[in-house]
Amino acid sequence: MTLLSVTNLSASYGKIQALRQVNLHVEAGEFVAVIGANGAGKTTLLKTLSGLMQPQGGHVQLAGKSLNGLSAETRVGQGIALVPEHRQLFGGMSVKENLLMGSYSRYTRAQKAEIEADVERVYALFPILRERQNQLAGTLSGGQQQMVAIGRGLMARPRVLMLDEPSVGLAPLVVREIFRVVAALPAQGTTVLIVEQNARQILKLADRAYVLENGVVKLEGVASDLANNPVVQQIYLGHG
Amino acid sequence: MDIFLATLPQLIVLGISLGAIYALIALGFVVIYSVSNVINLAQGEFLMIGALVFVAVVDAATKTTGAGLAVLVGLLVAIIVTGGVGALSYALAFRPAIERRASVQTLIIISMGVSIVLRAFGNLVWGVDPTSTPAFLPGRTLREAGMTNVIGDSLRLGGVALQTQSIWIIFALIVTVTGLFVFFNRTMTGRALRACAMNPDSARLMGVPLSKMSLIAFALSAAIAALAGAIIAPMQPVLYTMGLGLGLRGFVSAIMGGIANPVGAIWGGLLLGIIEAVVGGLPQMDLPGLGKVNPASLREAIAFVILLAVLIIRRLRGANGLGGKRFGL
Repeated sequence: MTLLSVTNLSASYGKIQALRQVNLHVEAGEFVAVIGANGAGKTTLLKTLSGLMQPQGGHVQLAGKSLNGLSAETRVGQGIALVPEHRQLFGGMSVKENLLMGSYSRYTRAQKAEIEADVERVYALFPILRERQNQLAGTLSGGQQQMVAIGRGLMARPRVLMLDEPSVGLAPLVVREIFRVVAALPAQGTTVLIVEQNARQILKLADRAYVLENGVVKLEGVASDLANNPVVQQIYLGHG
Repeated sequence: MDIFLATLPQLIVLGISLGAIYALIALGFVVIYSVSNVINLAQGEFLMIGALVFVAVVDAATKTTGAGLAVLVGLLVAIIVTGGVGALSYALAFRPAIERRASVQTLIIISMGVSIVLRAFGNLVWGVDPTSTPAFLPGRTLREAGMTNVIGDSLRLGGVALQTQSIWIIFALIVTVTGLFVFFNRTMTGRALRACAMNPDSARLMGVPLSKMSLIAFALSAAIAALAGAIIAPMQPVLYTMGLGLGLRGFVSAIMGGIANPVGAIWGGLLLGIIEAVVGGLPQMDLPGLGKVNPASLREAIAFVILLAVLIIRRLRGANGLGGKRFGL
C-alpha cells in the first residue's frame, strides 16, 4: 500500500525555486532515503511535507487522504511527524517533558498509561535517555539530543516518521547507533522517510532512495542499485 | 532621619506588598510576550477592569451574602470576566494582525489601542468617581477614611505595623506563583505554552496550535491582572485611569527581569515596590544647588528612571534584563 505519495510538488523561497515537480512515494513499512548535496532541496521537501512551508503546487497524500492546505499542527495528528534539522528540542524542558510534548497531538484522546508506556518504549530504544530523563534537554550532548528528537517524533505514533539529516555533526559511532535504531523502525510499524547527506551509510540501510539535485529528482531506485550506480558513486560516494 | 530609620521595616513590608502587585502585573507581561511576542501595554487596563468588576460585584453581593462570601464571589467573577476580556482582545485586535505577520512595533501600537478602548469602556460604565471596597479582613477602609489615604486595618508584628491587606496581597502572590508553577510544569497545556515560548516551529510540529495558545496566554494574563486589581481595591482608589500607573510599573518590573523571565519579573516587581516605598518615606533633604527637596514627591518618577537605566544597560550589554534565564518557571 502506498502510504505517502507526493505528486508534482513545487516550492520556492521568493524567486528562488527550491523544489521543481518532485514525485515520490513511500510504501507502508518501507525505509526510504532522499540523498543530495547541500541546497538540493532536501530540507525544503520535508518542511513542505510537514506543513511548516506551503508549496507552490502539487499534491501530497497520506494513505489516500489529501494533506493539501493542512497546517503543520494538524498534519501530525493525521499520522506524519517530522524530526527537524538541528533537532529543535525544547531546551529548557527536561528529556521526559520533551517526550511528553511529542504526544501532544494525541494527548486528549490517549490514556495516560498508554503515553507512559510509549515513553518507556523510547527509553528501551535509547537506554541513555532513561538515565537523563530529568536533565534539561539543552544540556545534553549532540547525539543524546538527536535521540530525544527521534523519541519525541515517535511519541506522536506517526505512520510516517520523517527525519532531516539526523547524522549532522555527530561522531561516527553515535551515527551508527542512531541509524541502527531508525532502520529497525519499519519492522516495528513505523514507516521512515529520511533525508541525508551521509549517502554511503544510508544507502546500505534503506530499501529505496531518491537523489535530489537542484530541487529535481535526478535518480530513484532500490538503494543497493543506487549505491552501485557510477554517477552516484562519483558524486555522492566519493569514488574515483 | 531617626523617624525614617524607625519606620524602615514598615516601609519595606509596604514595599513588598506594593511590589507583589507589580510582580503579578509583570507576570502577565511575561506570559503574553513569551507565547505570542506581544508587549501588551493594555495589561494595566486588564487590572482596572478586574478591580472595577470586583468592586461592583462585592457591592452588589454584600447586601445578600455577607462580606466574606462577597469577596470570594467578587474575586471569581472579576477573574472570569477579565479573562474573557483578555481573550476577546486577542481574538479581535491581535490575532488578525498576527496572522498578517505584523511587526513587534505594530503589535505594541495595537495594544495601546486596546488600552484606550478599555479605559473608555471603564469610564462609560463606571463613571469618573473613584470607588473602593472594604478590606478583606475587618477594619477601617479607604471609603470610611474619606478616600484620602492608604489605610486599612493594621496589626502589629514585632514593632512593625502591617496593613492586613498587605498580608492578603503577599499571600495572593505566593498562591498565584505556586499555581502558575504547577500549571506550567505539570499540565500539558502549560507545557505547550512553554513550548511555544521556546520554539514555536517545533511546537507546531508537535501539533500545538499557536493561535489557541496565544488566546490562553491573553486570558491567563488578564486573569492574573484581575486578581491584582481585586486585592488592591481596598487600598487604592479604583477608577478607570488606575491602570496607567500600575501597568507602567508592571512593565518596568518585567523589563527589569528580562521580559521573558517570570522569576526575574517577580524579583523586579518586589525590588521596584521596595524602592518606591522607601523613597516615599525618606525625610525632607537639603540638597546642594537644589534647596529643600521632598523625596516623596519623586516617587512617581522612580519607575521611569529605572526603565531608562535598564534599557541603557540592556543596550550596552545586549543581555536579557539584569541577568537570569528565560521563560522556564
